[in-house]
Amino acid sequence: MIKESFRIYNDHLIKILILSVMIVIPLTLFNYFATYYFYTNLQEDQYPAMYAFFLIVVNFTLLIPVFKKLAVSDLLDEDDVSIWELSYEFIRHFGLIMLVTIPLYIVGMLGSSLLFIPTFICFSIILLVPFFVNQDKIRDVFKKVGRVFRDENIFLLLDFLVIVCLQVLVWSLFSLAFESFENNFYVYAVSRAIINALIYPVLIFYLTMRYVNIDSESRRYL
Amino acid sequence: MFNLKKFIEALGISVIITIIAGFIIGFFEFPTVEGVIYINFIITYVTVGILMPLFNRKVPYTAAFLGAISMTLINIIFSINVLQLPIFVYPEIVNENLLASTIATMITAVIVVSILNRRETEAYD
Repeated sequence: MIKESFRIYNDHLIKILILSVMIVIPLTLFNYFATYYFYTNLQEDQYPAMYAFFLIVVNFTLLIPVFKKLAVSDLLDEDDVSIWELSYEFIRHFGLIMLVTIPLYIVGMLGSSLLFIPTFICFSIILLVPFFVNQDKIRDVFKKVGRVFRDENIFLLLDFLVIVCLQVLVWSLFSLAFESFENNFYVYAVSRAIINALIYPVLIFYLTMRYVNIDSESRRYL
Repeated sequence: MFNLKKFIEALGISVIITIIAGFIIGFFEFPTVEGVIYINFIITYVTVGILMPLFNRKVPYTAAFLGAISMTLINIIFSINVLQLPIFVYPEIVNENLLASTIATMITAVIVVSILNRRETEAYD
């Protein structure tokens, strides 16, 4: 699966670069500036760290439909999807992903006192919903999410581990390069954006192949 | 029939347009804060009025009305939770807010629906 995801990354390199310049880097910069605003302007009793973590989570989940469509169209041997179709995928599914993410994030944060069990359930749903958001009815979306959640259950923790570890590894390797300089706030923003543009496509291709059932014989996916 | 998925999609697109418009307005130096607020208000609710009939072609006015009200509620909840402004203390402000946003959206929706109808009849001829 990892080899296959790197193959897709290699085949569609130009498209992924254009998409990162158009969507990934502006979104990351916007979220980073919003995090900075929350940290400077909010008081201590308003929990600015909660807003910051929410923006980091949303930064990942909003990008999933774009690269998922690219991976699925490649695996089904369809015609090339245009850049506009892929960016319209981002614009179209913004509302539903935000509407699902905000209440589940609040529930997960409030439920962290109960041995982190509600947190795990809510964050798994937050991770899985963007993969199945391309349905006509909202009920179908949650039905498919429930099916994957029933099949995978505890092994979703491994996926969280993969996502977090890859981020931390690449971030620490990248920040070695400018460790001894006098660093600015903008340096971190730009490096963060470049790292996100680098790893998110590979991660999302890998997760798509894990969750989305693709049957290349009958040319459809579940 | 009223399609909830399409409704949420249109709401999300108008939220994106509001964010981008607010980001771009920040680069220009407006003399007053009220001007910024009015421009952002007009952009937001005109986009809601344009997008709701386009996405929910069967029930355009219901979708536009519900979209305006939910957009206002999102704004109010955001300003209560994040900016800590106690808006629900003043009922007149909530009333004004709902009235102005609904009027702006419905006027745009009427114009957009008439344009769409005319275009459809021309295509039919």
